[in-house]
Amino acid sequence: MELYTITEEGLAAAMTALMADYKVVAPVEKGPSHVFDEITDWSLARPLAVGTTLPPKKTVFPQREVLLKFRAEGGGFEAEEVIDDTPTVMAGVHPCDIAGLRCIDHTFGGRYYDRNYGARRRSTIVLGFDCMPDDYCFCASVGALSAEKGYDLFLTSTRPGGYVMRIGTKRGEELLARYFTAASSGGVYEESAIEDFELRKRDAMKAAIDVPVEHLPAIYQASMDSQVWRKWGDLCLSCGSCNLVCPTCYCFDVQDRVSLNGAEGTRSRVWDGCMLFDFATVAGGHNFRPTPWQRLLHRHNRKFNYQYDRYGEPHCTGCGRCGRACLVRINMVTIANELAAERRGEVA
Amino acid sequence: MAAAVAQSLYLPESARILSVEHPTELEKVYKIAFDSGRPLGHGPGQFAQVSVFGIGEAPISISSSPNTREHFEMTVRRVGMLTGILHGMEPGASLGVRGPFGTTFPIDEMRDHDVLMVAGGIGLPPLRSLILPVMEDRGSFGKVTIMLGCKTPKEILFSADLAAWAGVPNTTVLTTVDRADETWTGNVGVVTTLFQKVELDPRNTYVAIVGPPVMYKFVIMELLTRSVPGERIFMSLERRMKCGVGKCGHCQINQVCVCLDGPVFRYSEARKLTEAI
Repeated sequence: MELYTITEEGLAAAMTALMADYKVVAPVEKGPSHVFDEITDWSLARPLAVGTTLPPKKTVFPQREVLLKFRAEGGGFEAEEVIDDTPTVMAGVHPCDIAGLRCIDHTFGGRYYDRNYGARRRSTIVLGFDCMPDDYCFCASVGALSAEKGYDLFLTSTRPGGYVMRIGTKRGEELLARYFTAASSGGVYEESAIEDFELRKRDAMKAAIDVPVEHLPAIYQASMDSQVWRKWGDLCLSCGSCNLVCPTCYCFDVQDRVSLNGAEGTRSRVWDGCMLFDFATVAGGHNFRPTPWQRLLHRHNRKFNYQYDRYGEPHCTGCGRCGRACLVRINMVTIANELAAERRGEVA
Repeated sequence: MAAAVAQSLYLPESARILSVEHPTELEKVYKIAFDSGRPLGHGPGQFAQVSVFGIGEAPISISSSPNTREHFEMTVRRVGMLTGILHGMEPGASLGVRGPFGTTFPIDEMRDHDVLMVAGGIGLPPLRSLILPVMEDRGSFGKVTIMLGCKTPKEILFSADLAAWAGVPNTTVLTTVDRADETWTGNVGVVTTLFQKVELDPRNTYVAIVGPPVMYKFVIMELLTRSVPGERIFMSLERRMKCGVGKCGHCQINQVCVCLDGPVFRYSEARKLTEAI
């Protein structure tokens, strides 16, 4: 693997140069936490901050995104697509969120390719940064401790004031040559420094799922009648916070807005959440998941069973955000471990 | 991700209402055609997303025959904002349409077999997109039985069609209502009571069912009691949908998206889904 090193100052110079050509998004301080926001001053960036309130998916899949605009025309309507492909650099994306973007790619790709998402995703450069876990992180349990792909460049802070850089794509290689002019070539020492960082990261991880992640689909499939869902579902407030902060949740509602004179308007998608009461209600009022425990079962199965089965990788990346956000302390790890304990000996 | 395609998935094509009928208090039947003249090209059991700009979009099943190319029909019950606006629309009004989407009833597989088609209430319009092509190619099928259950006689849709189908040789049409009125002289009771009136050959019968969630459980129980194999029972499931193309997440049941993997499911597959029925 070809490795490079860069100092904090060299990185700042590169990011400042990038800002001339790209919209740059990175974690910044906000209240007690951090949020991904557009910046024009790299000194405000906190690329190592763990647990931004919302994951960086909002850059490629915004909370409200105009899909179409339309206007009244000859007794009918003329509609046209709205495609946003603003060249963007997203810096400070941690391995869990890189995995999260890959999960969302599965949904928006496939037989029906989503151009609105795809244009923004392709025009967004991912600068990954490695991080150290807090009490909620459990990426090591779901195979997302480190990222092998899904980034253009990836930086590991192997020593104070310095990073080791890896190249993930051809685009990353071009960026390195053009903007990261202060980078120098690394070697065997840098390779072992990354290994050392990842070992320290693994050691620092407090939260853990007790069984290999590959066992979870079978455990969850066998646990549809488990009282664990009732127990935690009875506490759930159906607030949808876990949906909003999740790096792999992608469900959306579609809403129209019209100008006051009715002559023109937009059709947007807006984040929705499967934990909200009305999520599965059809016209006429029948709700297919009327109770919190049914919705909890559905959401957690989407992470460790349904989407895992459909796309071949867990759709929980161990970022810990839903655990941090939950008002009644419902936690993916607790539930996984309770289900695994119930099925011990039954499921390989 | 797949290669880029020419247009947004969410961009509807412009279409116009050709005619409107108002057969029941809550339902209207629309004949619709694309402005471009292209046929919708749907299969039996498929649906399309219908847009009224400024209001929104809803999945609506197609009730005409796939063999009718110059226009398509949709039957709309007034239940919400969008369908309320649709009910106010006259011939000539403009709509947006995306589709067709979803899986189809396997009409080719059904050929040379007996076919039983069971509808509950507003389930008849989507099932009609299968009944019509079966009747249009009547010689290719064995015994055809159509069962319809409605709450009251006033809710019965397509009564002219029902009468016409009943007149075709080797074809049985049975209707029942939950509550009769003074005009009704037919069967009273839920749709499963009609099974007493027919002989089913379980080795040679394909079944298609469209109705409300509660109906599936009882109709399927009836069929399994009569040894109809689950592989030859097909059902159309209704779920909330926003996109129709597997993106918005609303219609997911366990591992499947109803808009992509359904709405028509083989019972032997659907029974594995804990949330399906």
